[in-house]
Formats: sequence, C-alpha cells, structure tokens
Amino acid sequence: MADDTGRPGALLADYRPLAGTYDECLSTDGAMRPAWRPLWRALETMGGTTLQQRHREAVQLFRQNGVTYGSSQEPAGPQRPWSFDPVPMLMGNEEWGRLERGLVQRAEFFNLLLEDLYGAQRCIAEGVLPPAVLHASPDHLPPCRGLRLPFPRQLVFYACSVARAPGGGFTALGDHTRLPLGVAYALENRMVLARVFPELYRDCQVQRLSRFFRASRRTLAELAPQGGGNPFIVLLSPGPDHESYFEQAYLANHLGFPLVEGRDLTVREHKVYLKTLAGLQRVDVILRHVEDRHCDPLELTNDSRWGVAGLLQAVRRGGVSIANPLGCTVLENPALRAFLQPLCRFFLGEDPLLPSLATWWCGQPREREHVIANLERLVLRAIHAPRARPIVVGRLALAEREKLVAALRREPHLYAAEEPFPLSTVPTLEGGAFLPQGLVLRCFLSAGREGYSAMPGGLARVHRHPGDETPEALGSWASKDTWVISAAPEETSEALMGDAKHTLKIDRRGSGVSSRIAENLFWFGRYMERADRTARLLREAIVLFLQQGESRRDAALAQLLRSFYGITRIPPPESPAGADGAPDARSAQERELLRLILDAALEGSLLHDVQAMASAAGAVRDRISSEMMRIVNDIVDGLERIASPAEAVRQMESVTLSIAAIAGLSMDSMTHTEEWRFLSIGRRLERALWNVALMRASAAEIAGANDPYWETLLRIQDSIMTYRWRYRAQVHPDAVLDLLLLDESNPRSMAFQLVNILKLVEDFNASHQSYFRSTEERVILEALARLRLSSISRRELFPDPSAYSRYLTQLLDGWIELLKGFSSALSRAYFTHSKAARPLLLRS
Amino acid sequence: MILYRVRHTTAYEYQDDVEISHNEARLVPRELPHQKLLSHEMAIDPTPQDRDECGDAFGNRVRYFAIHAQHRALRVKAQSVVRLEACAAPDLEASPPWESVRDLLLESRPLPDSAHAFLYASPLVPIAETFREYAATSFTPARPLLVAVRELTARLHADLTYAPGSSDVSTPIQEVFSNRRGVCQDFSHIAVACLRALGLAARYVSGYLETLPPEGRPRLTGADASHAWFSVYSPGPGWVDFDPTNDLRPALQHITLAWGRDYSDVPPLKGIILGGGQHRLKVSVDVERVGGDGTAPA
Repeated sequence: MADDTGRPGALLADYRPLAGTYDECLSTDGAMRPAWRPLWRALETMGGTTLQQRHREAVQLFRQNGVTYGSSQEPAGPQRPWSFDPVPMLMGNEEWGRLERGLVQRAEFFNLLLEDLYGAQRCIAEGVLPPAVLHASPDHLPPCRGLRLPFPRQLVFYACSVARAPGGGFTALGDHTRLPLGVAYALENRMVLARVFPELYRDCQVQRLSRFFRASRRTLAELAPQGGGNPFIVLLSPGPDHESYFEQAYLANHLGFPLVEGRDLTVREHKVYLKTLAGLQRVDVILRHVEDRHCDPLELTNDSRWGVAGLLQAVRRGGVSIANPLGCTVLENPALRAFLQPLCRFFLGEDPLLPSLATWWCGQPREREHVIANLERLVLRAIHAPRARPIVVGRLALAEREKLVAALRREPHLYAAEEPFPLSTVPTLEGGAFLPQGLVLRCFLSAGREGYSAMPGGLARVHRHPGDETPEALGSWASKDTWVISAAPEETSEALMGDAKHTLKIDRRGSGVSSRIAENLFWFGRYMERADRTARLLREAIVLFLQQGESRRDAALAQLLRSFYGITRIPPPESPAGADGAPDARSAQERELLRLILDAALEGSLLHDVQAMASAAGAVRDRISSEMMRIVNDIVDGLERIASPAEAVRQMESVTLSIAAIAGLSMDSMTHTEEWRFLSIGRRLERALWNVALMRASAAEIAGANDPYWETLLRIQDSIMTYRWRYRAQVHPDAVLDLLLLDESNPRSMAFQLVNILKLVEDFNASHQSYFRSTEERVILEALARLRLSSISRRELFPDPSAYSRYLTQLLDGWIELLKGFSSALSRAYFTHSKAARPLLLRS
Repeated sequence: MILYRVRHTTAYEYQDDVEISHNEARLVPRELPHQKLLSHEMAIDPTPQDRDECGDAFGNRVRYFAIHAQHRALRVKAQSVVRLEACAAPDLEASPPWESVRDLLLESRPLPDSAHAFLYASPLVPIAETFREYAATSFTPARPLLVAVRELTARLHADLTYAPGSSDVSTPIQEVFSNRRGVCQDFSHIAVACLRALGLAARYVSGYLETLPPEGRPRLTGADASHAWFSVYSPGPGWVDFDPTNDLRPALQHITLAWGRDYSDVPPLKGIILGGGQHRLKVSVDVERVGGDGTAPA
C-alpha cells in the first residue's frame, strides 16, 4: 500500500520505469510523487480485481455510447472503438498552473500572429518571419485576407500537444488551430471515469471541466454579428463519413447546437440561413468542423461538397461569424515553430514561457546544413503537405534517405526538422499489468473577452513505445483522463445550463428541422420497422426449422421463405434447401437462414437493415436521445454474436423488444414536432408496405384458403393475441383479413397505418397553413378509400377462388403502387433541398 | 495611345431549372500606369437578388452576385472602355543575371510588389523537375534575366501547338506539357511553372488581346477570346509581361483584367449552382479600337 513515505503498493510492485526517462508517477528513487499518493491509496484499497472489473465497465460504456474514432460508413473501415486506460494522468495544481500560463501566453501569441498574417503582415515586412514560410504553405488562403471576427481575439479555439522533456519541464510538440479536435473525447473520458470510479473522483478533488465548456459557449454566443439576445449557433460538420463525426455529434449535443452539413445552409444577402421545413432560419455563428479550404466552393476549393457557396463573402460582410476563423490552419505550419522565439518577442515583447521542440527551417542555409548533418536524430515535416505523416529519418532506408536529402536541397524552404526527445512515461494497464507508456497531453484553450482559458488537464494519450515519438492521429493511441488536483474542493456542477440573466424567448419548435434531418429520421423510421418485420418473420422461420420433420411445418417454412424472398427481392438459393429433411439439406437450410440474418452485404438481410437503421440514426445523432442510440448499438452487437439457430431465435426476440423500446422512447421522449412526424410517417409507411407485400406474396394461399399459413401470418403481424381473444381457436381467412387489413383499431393493420399517416400529413399542412390537399395527402386518401370500400374480406361475393385471387392481387398491387407514390411525393416535397451544389467554371 | 471597347458576353443555358446560383466575376480591367479604365458596366440577366463588389488579395476587382429565383439561362454582359498608353519597353539586356534575382528572392528579406507570393507552387502550377529541366536551356549562367525569359517565351511558342479544345480547366499542366498542345492558359501556366521551378517569381495574367483580321478580310464581331499571359519579377522595372502564345512582349494590344498565382485565382467568371443538369455555354468577346492616335501595333 502506498503509504506516506511514498513506497508503491502491490499494484505497482512490478512496475519499473525505463532507465533514463522521466516517470510521471514514480521519482528516480522509486518513491511515488506526492500528487499521485491519494489516488494509488484508493486504488490499492479497491484492489486489482475490482480495478479490472471497472475497466471493463468503462469499455462497455464507451461502446454503448457509440464512442468511436473513424468513419461510421464503412463497417469494416477505420472506425475503431475508443481506447481508454482507467488510471488517469495526474498533475498537481501548482505544476498545472505553470503549464497553463505557458499555454495562455502561446494562445495570445498565435492570436496576434494570425491577425498579422491575414492583415498587415508586419512580421514579414519587418523581417522577423521569412516570406516563404507564409507563401509556400498551402494553408495560407489569400481570399481570407482581411477577414475579422467582431471579437477582441481572432483565434477562438486553440489546442496544443505537450510532452515532458527529460529535464522535467513541459515542451510544446504541436499546435492545433484547424479544428478543435479531441475536446469531446476529453469530456467523454471524464464522464465515463467519474461514473465508474465515483469515489476516487470525489475524493481526489479533481478540477472540473464544465467551466471550460461554459466559457466556450459564452464566447461563441458573443461572436454573433448583431450581439445580444439568443444567437442561433450551429455546428458545421462534414457528415457521418468524417473520421471525427462522433466528436462533432457529441459536441453539438453537449453544447446544445444543431449539427448541420454544408447543404443544409444557404447564403442570401450575405447572411447564412439554415434550410428548415418551415423555411429559412438565420444562423449567427458557425462552430466549424469543416476544414478551411472546404468551406466555400465559390472562393476556396471549388469541388468541395462540404461547404456553402458564398460563405466567405458573408463573413466578409459581417453576416455570420465562424470559429475558428477561415484561414487559421496557416498557424499549424511546422516551420513557424523555428521562429517562435523572435516572433513571440516581436508580438508580445517577452520570451515564450512554454518552450517548443527544437525546430530548424531548412530555408536558411546554416540551419539546412545542420539538419542534413544530423538527419538521423530528426523528424522532418513538409510544409507543402502539412497533413502528411512526419518523416522519421532514422527509420528510412539509405536510398530513401538520399532521395530525401536531394529533395531537401532542391526545395529546402519546404521542410522543417524537429528534434524529438523520449517521452515521459506513466503507468498504464496492459494485459493485467502496469507498464510505463509514453505520454503526450493535448491541452485545449478558448478565447474570452479578458483572455484565454484552458481546460484543466486535457486529453492524455499514451503510447506503447515511449521511444517512438510523433504519430499524431488520435486513434493510434490509448487515452487517459487527466486530473488536475486542486488544493481545495470545488463547487460541483457539471451542468451546462447558462446563467438566467438574459431573458429567453420561448420557442416550442426548437431549432428548425433541416430537410436532411427530416429525411434521415424518415429513413430511421422505415429501417426500424423493416428490421422489426424481418426479425419477426425470420424468428418464425427458425422456429419452424427447429421443429422440422412434420410435413405441415415444412410446407409453412417453405411458404414463409418464399414470401420473404418475394418481399425483399433476395434471390433464393439455387436448390431449395431442406425439401427432404436429409442432414446435408438441413445444414444447407441452416446456413441459408443464418445468411438471411447475418450477411450485411445482402440487401434485405436483418443485419443490413439494422446497420442501415444505425447509420440513419448516426446521421442525426444530435436529434436522437442517447438511450435510443445505445439500444441501436446494442442491437448491432447482439446480432454479431449469433452462432446457432437457437441463439438466433433469442436474438430475434431481443431485436423485436429493442425496437419496441426505441419506438416507446420516440413516443415518450421526443417532442411531437415535425421531426418526430417524419420518424412516425417512416414507421407507418414501412409497416403498411410490409403488410401489403406479405399478403401479396401469399395471395394464392389466401385465395385458396390454405390453412397452415394463417397462424404464422398472424404471429408475424403481432396480431395473434387479438385474434384468439376475438375468435378463439377458429381460424377463418375472412376474419384474418379483416383484422390485418381493415380493422382501424388494430395498430398492426393496414387501415390503422393509413389513418395515422393521413393525420400526420394533415398536421404538416396545418402547420404550414396550406389549405389545399397536397399530392402526398391525396395519395394516402385514395389508398384509404380503396381499403374502406373494398370487399376483401368477403370471398363469398366471388364466383370462384380464382376470381377472388385476381381481385385480391389487383387490389394489393394497387396499394403497393400508391404507397410507393406517397414516398416519392413526400421526398419531392420535403427532401429535395438536400441536393448538392456543383461548380461551373468558365474558360475559353 | 489607343482606346479600346471590350464587350465580353457569357451565356449559360441549362437543361433543368437552376434553383440558386452564386457567382464571382473578375471582368473589370485593372488600373495600371499604362492602362486607364474609362468606363465599365455589367448587365446580368436574370437580375441577381444579391450583388456586391470587393477587392481580392491580389488587388483585382471582384463582383459577387447571387440569383435565388429559378432560372434556365444566365447571361452576363460586361462592357469596358480602356485607354492604353505606350510605355518604354524595358531593356532586356540591362536586366541583372538571373541567378542574382533567384538569390535575392531566396533571401528572407521582404521585397516590394509582394514578389514572394508568386514564387511557390499554387493550386494549378506545381513545381516539377520537368519544367526546371526545360527552362534550364535558356537560363545559362549569368544570362540577363529578361533575355532568358524572352527566349523561354519564344521556345514555348515554337514547341507548343496552340490547339483549342485540346485541354480543359481540369487537365494538369504536366499532361498538357507532355502532349505539347494547349491553349493560352496552358502556355502561361507552363511558363509560370518553368520560372518558379528555377526559383523566380512569376504570375498569371488574365486579359484580352486585340486580334486583327487577315489582310483584306472584314473584322468579325465577337470572334475574339479572353486571353492569358504571364509576368516575371525583375528588380528595377518590377513585373514584366510576356505572351508565350503569340511570342511577343505585350504592349498596346493586351488589356489586363486581373492577375494571380494561376488561373484558379482569377477566372473571369466562376459560379456554383444548385440544379441545372447539363448546360451549354457560349462566350463572345469583342475587342474593338474606338479611338487613339493610330500608333501601329508592336
């Protein structure tokens, strides 16, 4: 047990810091540093088993919350679960104070540099910064010259990666101004850690993060061009394909800003508007997660699909404020760090408090020769390809190194070299033991009227090979929460609610629903229902399969699968399996059933539908409660575990239950405004379509009054209880048709869906004050009228079964047409705004 | 002294309705020591809902306009009257050795005329060994800069075939260069690439050229086109223009619209549209002498 003398206890008994490196936790004599003692005392009390148990809980929480890094569009792609270490990085108050002062000064400095580079360029005119460093950088965007925010500081968000140099002080490794990446992960790490270790977190007097987020939000509000009131702030995202989409959705949700994409916005009269179903809504401030050069296809990169045409001119005319300001990626140029000291003196009249990694810009002859002579020890960065991986020269083969030196001599001004140092280490849990792993801390700052404030601590990232520096992508490292231990307990409030000093205009509609969000919610509803239907049908099929042997059941199973192939248009396997009940035929049938559940590449399979549902939900993540999101993620996880038909039956049932839970949450926890209506219409439409399609696929059986199928049909439609209650054991086709199609009180019937869709569509027209029947309304009315006037449950009116069958087929086909027509009318009316803009360039 | 009237009409016809179109035009000739803008007007049909005017980072005048009403056609007519004065041609032989200019630019001291902004790769002009090698033939040791540039201009004119339609905006200049066929934009980009590969500062100039009909034929209205050439930085005179498409030094027949690092900084008209489907484009340019003292073209 770590006692007051600082001897490490049992958990760290085998922990050995590397010789010659600084360890954050243990000093060179093996004693524990004072700031860490209370934490380890508590961990020792908890014991290794509990610690590992809590770690597993944390991992589970990250997974349930859908915390990932990478694209959500490619299931096998680079999307990775967030990697997290349960033992936080610790820092004493005093040490943090020193680091914080250095960071704040650095932020002030970069702010002045930014203003100058896009303004008077005094630092170049007076010879402090060589012009090449600015002009050779592709991140220098001439159209952004002269842009200004109506705020005392131009650099709104700034992040800095720091590491401890062998001497013990912190050193800046990199400056991040492009996008404020990582801040949401830091927050999520904290939330999860505080949840799995509530007692530790409470007892250690950790400085809170909430103040930083409140300050950031206040600053964003103050950026509004007109000032005052309740400005409309949106988070501009490049969309779900982007590797840090999780972060964008998480931040939007936490800060309470709508998550929008470029095509949701439009510029008019140099003002920016969100295209909502109710019309255009003025946007005051944009929190930008789209790269500078992709923000305006008119003035910046013209093939960008993430931007908004005319945005730059809107900023120029003061119609909207963007944070970080466009063009500020220029500050990430690694060559700038070679001039940091003279520049800092030039702008602030003082030396940097936080040193930078030793950096040489090869555009200067002496520095170039130094770099070439010492290449082994250096990491080279190309300033014309700023996003390229840094080149660790020591790892290059001789031929590659020679090529590099030639390139460096040809265009020396395009390269800067840095001299890395071994990272300090911190105890990190790996395979049940604590190992010393290299530490880099990313710190976050935001501007305020009076100055910059830093998030206490930041995102700690640990790296397995402390000798190996520099891979900077967030995902390739594990992360830790960082605790700054305060001297006195802090007031506890993680809530983000602002002060109630301003009066707030009551607005029941909330921020407008963009067409894109409406479309995604509509498809979320449709896929949710489709997955439910598929799960119910396949469950019945597997149950029949497991009871096989009886010819009645075999026939029912074959009929059920025929229907499923018909509805989903999945091509059936070459030879219909399982006809004779032979063992190999049976195993072929088992494989086929599992394929229908698990083949994600197969359009119509359950996993395909569930993934489509998850992806639609992911695209509107800020509109869907975290509970709903968690259930969606659990469904995907559960399906992936299926290995046997018996397990599949259980999972099908749990899919059905989970979807019922999502449906319940959507009824009870979403406000019944326009976005909810789209989700509901999607569900109702899909349910009606499935209902009709299922009947259509077995029209012949229905007309022939074939018996074995009825019960299955009722079960799939979740109407067997109602039926038994009404008719007991007597199965009659007319009664079944009445219950499944005509009965307007049965929530599973076709009539029920149509009546409700009509109501939802009428509500739209009412809220848009339109007194004409829209196309989509007319289509639904017609479908409903045909249903109400039909003789579908009166086979006695037909001379023979074939006449009845013809009538049935015709009627069902007519409904399928109408329902599809409704879907396209709806998308024409509401979703067309989400078309993408394209460039026209003239050249003679 | 010569007075020119330039009429530049751009007409787009779209297959489907365009819902929104945002545009920027660089169609206002620049004010220069030897070029005065006497009048300029621009007519846009349909009438834009938003209009605005600004200077860009290179000092060009930019017109913004946006049309929010559905339309199937867009017509932009710019008409300018410009007076060109003869100015003394720089003495090419008197220019400094090209290496000294390169070294001056390499030094980190700032230079007038923001020469450094035109020294590096830009979106359409990469720095490549191919161009450096090609240029090296003309840039022999200690040769006066402008003599070498003049020869490079002549070689490009001789080695490249002017072939309208052989390239478009998206054709990389390395490809144009290896095919040895292109239009005036390509000639100019290649020249700029050659100079920058040597460490010299070069900019792309967009403008118009007066074309004269063949002997005995009448002048055809609208048969002209917008044109492009380049400028090289030479300490002393500053920026000096060369036209590689016509192998000459621009004087009284070249009207300057705008300049930038390459074409992407200064297209005469550029737009982003929503909708529209396929489109047809028709451009007509008419450069007409409307007065002057009859100084013969150089």
